[in-house]
This record gives sequence, structure tokens and C-alpha cells, in this order.
Amino acid sequence: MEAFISIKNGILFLVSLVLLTGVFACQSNHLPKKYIVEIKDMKFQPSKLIVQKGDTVIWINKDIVAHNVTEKNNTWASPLLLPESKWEKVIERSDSYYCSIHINMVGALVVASQ
Amino acid sequence: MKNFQNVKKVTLLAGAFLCSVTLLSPAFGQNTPTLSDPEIASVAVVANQNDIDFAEIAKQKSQNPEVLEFANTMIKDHKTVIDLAVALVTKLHVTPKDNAVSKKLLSDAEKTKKMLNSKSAKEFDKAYVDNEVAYHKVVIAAVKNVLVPQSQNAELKALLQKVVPILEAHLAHAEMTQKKML
Repeated sequence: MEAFISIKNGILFLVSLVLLTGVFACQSNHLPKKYIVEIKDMKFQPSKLIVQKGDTVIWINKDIVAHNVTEKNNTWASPLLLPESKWEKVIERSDSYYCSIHINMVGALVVASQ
Repeated sequence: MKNFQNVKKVTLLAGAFLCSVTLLSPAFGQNTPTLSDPEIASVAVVANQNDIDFAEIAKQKSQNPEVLEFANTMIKDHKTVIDLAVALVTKLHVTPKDNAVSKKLLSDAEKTKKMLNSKSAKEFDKAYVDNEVAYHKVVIAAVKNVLVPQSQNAELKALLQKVVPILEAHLAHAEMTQKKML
């Protein structure tokens, strides 16, 4: 009888553990996605991108001249992106950015609330 | 009197530009030149080299960070376009050929360089940026209305089409810098 209770408790513990893990996973585990921003015809396309925190954005230079991706207050920046080269960044917060070589090229990343 | 002199200078500058546009502008319909691909290649190289030359003068004469930044962008981008044009004509076994349009662009550029070099440090930035706005308007019109429609080779046409948004971005950048100077 004692052995039966012991097994029963063990099963209950395991079930609880699985359920709790599931609850936490639903609350905090967003599967990170990858998004592409093309730099084409002297524009960031799309110019505004809505992502979730932890998603990755890949910028690909499809123009014939070099560009870069620079946060508006210069807190982060890509290296020089030659034609056909790419650069990626994990997004932690909403930011506006521009190309510091062509200052009228601007883009925005918006982190959506989960 | 000083205002009158300034107006006169601007008018003379605008007049010089109008002369250089004549050979390229669609507004002069019946005078629109007919160009072969080797001639178009020559016009493209000369137009880009002119703007590099203007930017080199700016790097020597200006102390304004925004003007210097703009000049550096002009040198980088126009050099890239020249390199691509030279690579393409080499691949196509085409030799750029001088023509009335490229010669006019060259002679007008000489006058512009003389004008820019004659400016005092105080006057230079405005003269350079005003020139960049006017020059890019002329070149954009020429590429869109003359060079692209007349180019026969598909790769040459595609390269010229890719250059248009670059020139338009340069114009927007120049106009932004111009407004800040007001």
C-alpha cells in the first residue's frame, strides 16, 4: 500500500512539473523569428518592421553602392555593407535607424508588446 | 546694393546651368541629342567624374562637417558608378566615345570648378551645395530622359536605371543640407 502511495505521489509530482514547465513556456518562450530588410533603390524595405523582442533582423544590401545601418543616436551600427553583403542583429528594443552615408535613408524597428 | 550683387551672382550661376542643360533637357525636344552606347558611356563617366571633382574642391575648402560628409558620399558613390561603368564597357568591348554632350559637360564643369575655387571660405559652402542641387537635377533629367531611353545594350540600360535612385538620394541629401544653411 505504501509503495502504491509512493508511486502515486511520484506521478503527481511529475505531472505537476510538466504542467508548470508548460505554463512558464507559454508565458516567456516566444520562438525567435528572422526577418529580412532589403536595402534597395536607396531605401530600407520595409522601412518599418514590427518584431518581437529577441527576433533577428537581417539587412541585405541589394544596391550598387555601399550602405550601413546606424541607430539614430549611434548606440549601435553595422559595419560598411558592400553590395550583396548582409548584417544581422538580435532586436531587444524599438529603435529608429538610418544610413550614415545617405542620411535621408531611414528605417524603424518596433518591438511589439507580447 | 549687396543684395543686388548676390541676386546677380545667383542669376549668372543659374544661367550657366541652363546652358549646360540645353543639350540634355527634354524641354528642348528637337535639340535632344541622339547618342550611341559608347557615347552614353562617355557621358555617364564624365557626369560622375565632374561631381567627384566638385567634391574634392569641397574637401579642400569647406570646414562644415555636413558639407564634408556630403562631399565624401559624392566621392564614394560616383566612384562606384564609374568603376561599374568601366567594368561594363570593358566586358562589352566598348570604348567610351567623346561627343558634344560629354564635351559640353566637361567645359561647363571647368567653369563651375573655377567659380567654386574663387569663393571665399564664407561663401563656398552655399555655392557648393547650390551647385550640387542644380547639377543633380540636370543629371537626373538627362539619365531619365536621354541616356536610359537611348541606350541599346540591356546591361548598360540596367546600370543607368540603377543609378537614378542614387542620384535622387543625393539630390534629397543636398536639398536637406541646403535648407539647413538658410
